[in-house]
Amino acid sequence: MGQPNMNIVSAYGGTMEIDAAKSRIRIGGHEVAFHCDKFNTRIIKGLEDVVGVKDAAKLLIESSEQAAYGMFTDFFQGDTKAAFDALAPEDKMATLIEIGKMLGYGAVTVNSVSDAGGDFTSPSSYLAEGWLENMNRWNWKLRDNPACYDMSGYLAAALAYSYGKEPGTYKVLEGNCRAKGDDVCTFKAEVK
Amino acid sequence: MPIDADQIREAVAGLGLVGDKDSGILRRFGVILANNSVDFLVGREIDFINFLGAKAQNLAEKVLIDAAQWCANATFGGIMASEEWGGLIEPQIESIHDRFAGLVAITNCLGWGKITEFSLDEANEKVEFTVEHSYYVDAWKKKIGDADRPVCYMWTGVAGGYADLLFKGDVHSHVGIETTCAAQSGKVCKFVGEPHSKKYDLR
Repeated sequence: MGQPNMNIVSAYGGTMEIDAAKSRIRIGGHEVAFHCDKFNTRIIKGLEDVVGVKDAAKLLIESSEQAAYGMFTDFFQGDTKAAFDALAPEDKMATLIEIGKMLGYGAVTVNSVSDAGGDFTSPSSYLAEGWLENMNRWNWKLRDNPACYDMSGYLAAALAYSYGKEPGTYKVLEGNCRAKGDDVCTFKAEVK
Repeated sequence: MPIDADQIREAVAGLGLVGDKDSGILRRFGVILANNSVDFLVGREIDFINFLGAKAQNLAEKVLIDAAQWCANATFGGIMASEEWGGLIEPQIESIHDRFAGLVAITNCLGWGKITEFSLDEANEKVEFTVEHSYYVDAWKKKIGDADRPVCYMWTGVAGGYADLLFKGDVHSHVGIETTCAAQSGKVCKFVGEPHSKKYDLR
């Protein structure tokens, strides 16, 4: 499997700018904000309650993918882009997954990856962890469906960026999910 | 003792706001944080509103505000119960006004925009605050253009959530309202959190 380029990951972390006068944050030249699992899981629940699981998933995954792709595009400029472009696609993917960890999205293991898609496992996707905590706090139940829409979108964007494709190229489906009671979250990606 | 917002900001920044190197999970202040793209945070809300269409706009907005109010309760409630709060902020608190100032200082570390003015009316269980550089404004204008209504849904829920927490009410015992929004015009967004009027709640 690929190896992350930790120089690039470290450089990414070094780009965090906190504008105290505006209380705004940029990392990798991209506007970001801290939110908690409570907000993001409540958004999921709210959308699913109104439009149903299928359409909520589509909305959230597509929005996550577009935004993540924009984050990569904003960061990889000039010398940084040259360094990234020199990596093998598997290493690019591993590097982007490390960047996702830095952002607090959780850990991902790449089981297989190619330009046709891939299989991924996450023992700690933040939305699933948040959902599990909500079971104690708000008496939520285990889900019937996966919860990690943000991660699905992020992986779709990372695949597209690593293999030089446009966003929207890959469909990422989560199968097992810790929020369903599974041990780990699993994701399968394929070209649409 | 006045709340030292600069000290709090520096201390929060010093906590290292990145995911754990192994799990990728960022636990701080008793909650799991993630560093989300603003394009995602605002984009998903716009996509949701557009998906439902104009006739259901009010419903969509209520869902988004509701999520933020629950979040405010859990997040800021968790923050106020956390070790970080206990060590850093609680010693500076002598009144409910100080507690609000502490919440504002923490909020201003999250990248949401800056609360520049805030006040609290204890007798009427009401909070008011002004936000400059709300992250909604640029993102909304980039994707949609000028807004035809207040659109800082997350902040609106937070206004109600602040009031719920500070006045020790249940979640949704107070309601948030955005009275001025820079996505429409001007440079500031203004919010009120006040008791929910059940008697005339016909919305």
